Amino acid sequence: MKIFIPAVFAMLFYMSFSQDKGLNPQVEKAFDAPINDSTTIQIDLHYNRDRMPHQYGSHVITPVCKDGQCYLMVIDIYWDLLGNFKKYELKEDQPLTKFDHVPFSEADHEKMRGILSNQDSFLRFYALDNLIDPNEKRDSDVVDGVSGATHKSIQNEVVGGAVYSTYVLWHIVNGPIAKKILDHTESQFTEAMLLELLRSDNYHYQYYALNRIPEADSQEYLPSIIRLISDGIAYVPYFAIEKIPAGSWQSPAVQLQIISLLDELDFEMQNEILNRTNSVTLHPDACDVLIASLPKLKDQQLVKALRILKQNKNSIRQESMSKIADMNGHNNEISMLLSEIIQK
Amino acid sequence: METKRREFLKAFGLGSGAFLFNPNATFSTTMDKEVQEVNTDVFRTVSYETDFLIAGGGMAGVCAALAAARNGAKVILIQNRSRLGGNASSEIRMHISGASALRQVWRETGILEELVLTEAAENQQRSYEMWDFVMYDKMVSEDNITLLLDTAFVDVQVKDGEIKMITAMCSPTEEIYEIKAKFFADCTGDATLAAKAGCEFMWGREAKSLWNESLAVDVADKKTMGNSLLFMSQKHDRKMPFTPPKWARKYSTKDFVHRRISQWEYGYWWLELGGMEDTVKDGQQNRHDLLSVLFGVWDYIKNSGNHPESENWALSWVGMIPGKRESRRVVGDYIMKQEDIQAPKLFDDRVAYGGWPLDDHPPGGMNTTGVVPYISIPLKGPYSIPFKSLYSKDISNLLLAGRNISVSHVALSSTRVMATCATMGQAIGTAMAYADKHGLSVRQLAQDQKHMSRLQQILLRQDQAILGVQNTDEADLARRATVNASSETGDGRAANVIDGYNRDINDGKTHQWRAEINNNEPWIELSWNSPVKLSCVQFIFDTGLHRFLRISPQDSVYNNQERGPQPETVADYSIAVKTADGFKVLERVENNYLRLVEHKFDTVETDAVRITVHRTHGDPLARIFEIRCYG
Repeated sequence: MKIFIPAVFAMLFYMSFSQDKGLNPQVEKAFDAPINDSTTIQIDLHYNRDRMPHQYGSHVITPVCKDGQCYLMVIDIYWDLLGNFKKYELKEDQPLTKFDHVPFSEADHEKMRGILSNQDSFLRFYALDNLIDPNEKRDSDVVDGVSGATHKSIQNEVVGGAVYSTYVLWHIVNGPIAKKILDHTESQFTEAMLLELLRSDNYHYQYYALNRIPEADSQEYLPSIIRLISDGIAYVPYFAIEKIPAGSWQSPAVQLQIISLLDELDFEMQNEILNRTNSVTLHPDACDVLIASLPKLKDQQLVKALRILKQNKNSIRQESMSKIADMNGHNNEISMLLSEIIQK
Repeated sequence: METKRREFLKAFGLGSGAFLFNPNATFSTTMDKEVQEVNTDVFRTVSYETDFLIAGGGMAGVCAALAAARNGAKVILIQNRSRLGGNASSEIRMHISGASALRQVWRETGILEELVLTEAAENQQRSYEMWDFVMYDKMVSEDNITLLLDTAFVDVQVKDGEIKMITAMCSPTEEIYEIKAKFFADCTGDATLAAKAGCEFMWGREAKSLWNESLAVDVADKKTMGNSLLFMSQKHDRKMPFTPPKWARKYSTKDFVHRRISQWEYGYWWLELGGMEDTVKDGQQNRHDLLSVLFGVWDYIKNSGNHPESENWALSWVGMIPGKRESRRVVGDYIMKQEDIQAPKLFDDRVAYGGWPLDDHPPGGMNTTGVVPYISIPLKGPYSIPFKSLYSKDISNLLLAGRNISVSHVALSSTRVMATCATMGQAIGTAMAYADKHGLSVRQLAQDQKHMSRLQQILLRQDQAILGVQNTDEADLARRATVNASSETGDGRAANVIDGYNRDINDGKTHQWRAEINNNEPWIELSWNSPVKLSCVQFIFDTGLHRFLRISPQDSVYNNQERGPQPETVADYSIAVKTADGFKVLERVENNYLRLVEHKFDTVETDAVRITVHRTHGDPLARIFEIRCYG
């Protein structure tokens, strides 16, 4: 028994340790996919510690050929749950190389990552032959290839000197496999996953999840939606605020939560809140918060906010009303609105 | 109406047919006053017969008409509005786009260049309507052209696979035209004439599998690019509030994440709808929907708060005619596809070129603001347009120019722009005149390389935008001349004026004579061993084809051009011929701003002609691409 318990601890320790190290046994095959006429790769779904789908990955081995010279690309590629490029990993002794077997620099890797993250790249629509123009050698600033230089119009779309590698990798990452990954995720989609995505800091996930919330259930997901108004990445907040059901704007709690955000949000989101509060009957608490935010607003925003307060003047508490009375209007329109609000 | 009138008269016991032959007669007062003859023959039928009937007065039709007329054909052009230019006119105000987008050296030459140079020089006031007038002036200045404005095509008569006659109606003049012609051109954009004549046409988006086009959709459908409506606005010296009409759409920030608004003196190409419906037949609703989008967008700009700098701005012009991008595409003997745009070949029957990116718009337009409104794949260089894509395979005398030519949906995404359409127009106008002169059908011309080559030489001589064609005109006496100059630069040798190229073709050579002006008046001289008879000298001057040139309501576009005569262009020059008493000036030109200038004069016999450059429009170098001499 004495030996057994430490052994059990040792085993538990080993298991948790191995999970931390990524030796996670929770990897299952998702599907196979061809990447060219002769090669098929296996796409695996990786789960995280909580048994939630986490990412997709594939160990890819494929030849990249140029002028009859080939090198074997050996690379681990990872996608997020929606089929967007996440990262790639290489072994030290199997680097990505450019013309003349020069290994990629860090700058090259950074450029490659950028290209692979761009699903709108022109690489989708170019045949490999079209990327190179054998007559264009004179023109190019890019490292001259024996087979011709990359044309100016697409230099940004490829890593200089590694046109073929870029092309092959891009199509593996963003070709049919990307859609298959999304389909696979959707086939196993659960409510738990929806919440995970809504909670994430990845704007692809946020945007996707926001659009996955069934119209009828918007009320139920309100906290997540409101969170994305302040924590949404890029343009997610504009879509999040749109998703708030009309009825919810009547709720004092919702009004309070959203109007409180005026202080911290950027210019466009402040306008969004003001525009949407325009036709809403505000609760006194909400009026308080709006009045407290007035100093943060710029001219035209101030006009909007005061118009809203004027419509709701009967809901304004005495204490907040005296704040209005103390304000100075720095133009006629604002002065007039201020006096119209405090008027009985 | 006639039947009713007869019955009416019969009811009053007047069976005589006499009145029917005199419709203007009214009864005398001795008769029953209630019965009065009414002339309801309002529309007068007018018959025309001509060589070439062109339906459609947009950029393609205008250039086709001018090309044909200048090559000796009698032309009638019908245009269903009162202004020329189509999508480029003041009524729609879309940019004339084309190969300048390559940002190389390929701005289109020929008739289009003549039009835009004229506008740049003579419309300093930047009035859109005066641009319409430039086209109108050119058209009415050609004796061979009969211009029928406000005239809509209505019907066509086809016999034995040939169009015999079309019917068109002019509502303001209450005329119905019956126009017979030898050749017809459909430059309507919608291919209305071709469709009515029974030509096979394409509509919508073909599948990838059909022609192996990577840019095509997976499954074929009937959707197209949408129509757009444009606006203009002006800044005032005080606040200009805007209340949208009740039927305007309501937009918020999320609708513009893919449609950046950075200026508003000019509207937006992405103000687009109709691709999910029928861009032609649903036009009445489409126009109203576009107006509701337009006012919705303006409301957003003015009232969302996101563009506070728009406070003093107000709408000054709102289009009422949606600019169409895509409707029918008529099937020709060749259908251009993606590969012809991206990996172009020099077709044997090439007659024009394009260079705009493959620029396709998803059909949802402003109904799908969450979607990026376009993909634009830039090209490496210009591509040729074959003559076989510029006529219908089904009707033997019907030519095509504009967006309705024989192209796939993907190829259309590049060929549809107006500079390219203009070059197609010049191609078919010139071809028509050539075919007529040589008694050829359109298809015979297309299939006969000997004739095709001669046509290409004519096109080149007339400065058509065409690739890979060098001057081999046997009749051009300049080619046999020795060229000398008072001076020349290292890369601008005098002999370049007869090297067969009339523009920069991105091959590292200038293909022009260059000489420093420097208070001198440099001259260039062509001389022959024995005297030649000359009656024509023509020049191709430099007009900065590496730049953009077109009228624009958008300041950043307008100001990024040389507005006025182009600085490289030779302004003042004289032409002198050698006589026994030395050089005699035949002609002195001042204030030229055109690229192609042709001088015709009474035949002189001489063994040398000298051109002296007195002034350019700013460039320190005198530049001439080409000189040609004809007897």
